[in-house]
Amino acid sequence: MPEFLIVDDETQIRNMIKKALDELEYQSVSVANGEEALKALFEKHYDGVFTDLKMPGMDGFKLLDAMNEESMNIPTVVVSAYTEAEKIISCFQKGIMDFITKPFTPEEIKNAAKEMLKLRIDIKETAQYVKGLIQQNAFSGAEKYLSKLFSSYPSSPIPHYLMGLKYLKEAKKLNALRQFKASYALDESYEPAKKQLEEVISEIENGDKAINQRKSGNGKKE
Amino acid sequence: METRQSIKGKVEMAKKNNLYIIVVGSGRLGSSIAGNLSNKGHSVVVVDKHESTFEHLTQEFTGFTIVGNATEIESLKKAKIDKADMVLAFTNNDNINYMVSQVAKEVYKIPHVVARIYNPDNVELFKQINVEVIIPMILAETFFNKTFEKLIGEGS
Repeated sequence: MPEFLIVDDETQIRNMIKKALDELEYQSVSVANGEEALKALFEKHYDGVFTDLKMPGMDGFKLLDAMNEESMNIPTVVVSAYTEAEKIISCFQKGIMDFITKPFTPEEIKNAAKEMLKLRIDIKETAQYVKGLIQQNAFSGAEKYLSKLFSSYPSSPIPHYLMGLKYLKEAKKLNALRQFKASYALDESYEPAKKQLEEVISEIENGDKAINQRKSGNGKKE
Repeated sequence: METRQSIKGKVEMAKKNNLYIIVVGSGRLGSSIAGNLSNKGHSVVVVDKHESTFEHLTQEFTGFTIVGNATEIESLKKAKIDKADMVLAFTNNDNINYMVSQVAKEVYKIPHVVARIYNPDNVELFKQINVEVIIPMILAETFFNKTFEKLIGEGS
């Protein structure tokens, strides 16, 4: 079920946004300022964020900056009483999806939530596409989609697995090993990562043996 | 007789379970009605020039409050009057209620405008611009007459 984060210092506004989302049967978590929002965003994945701008402590502008610094690629809609063009433009420059001015109607919130969900990427479809890009050595394209996958599905083993495949294709075995390990750590039952991890480990071990044999062979000659 | 247009308008309003309603004046009546309307699920915006009057709003009120003078068009724009389905002019001043009603009805063509009137002599003025009116004095008088008849009827 889609889940949204609501950031506003006024309980009443939080409740109004929550009520609109409830009507669509979307889940939501509400917090009162930027700091709490960042904490919530680090803890788990949300399909979108509704944030106010004027809040005590970390305000909405700072929250948007922090989200960009942390490369959080989450669709965000600002809900504010500000109507000044400069402020609205500044928010769009920070990458927001939409700007809703207060007072708003539940319909505006519902439409924005639906639009945010349209940006949600399907993990299986994207993973298949990224695999294809890696096979064709189209690494920069693959990286672009991988960063989206990482931000949308941070707790899934799939993005790490795909990153590992990319490193493998680039002949960076140790980096690949790290990614497969991370993928396996996130979900031990994820077979593709387990298989790749075993293969890379045995390849590295075999490589080491070969090197050692060569070394010892060289030693004998001397 | 109702025109086809007005009947169509009423049917459309009835279908809409979420109306955008602006209440001007957050006195006891305005606040109480704003609370009821928001509880029914409508989007309600209350405008008053004194922030302290919002204290009249009940805790259950889920809507917006805007501090501003409703005779200034900027305050009404802030309340997004262009989107309103209904405007209630409920301040304690007939002149202000008339100005708000006139702007709502004639400039923004709001389908439903209701005004509270203190002086019954002003009723005609409001009716000329197609505004529905609530006159507390006449309501009280009608209610008293009914109560009086009931009491006398019971007594005889």
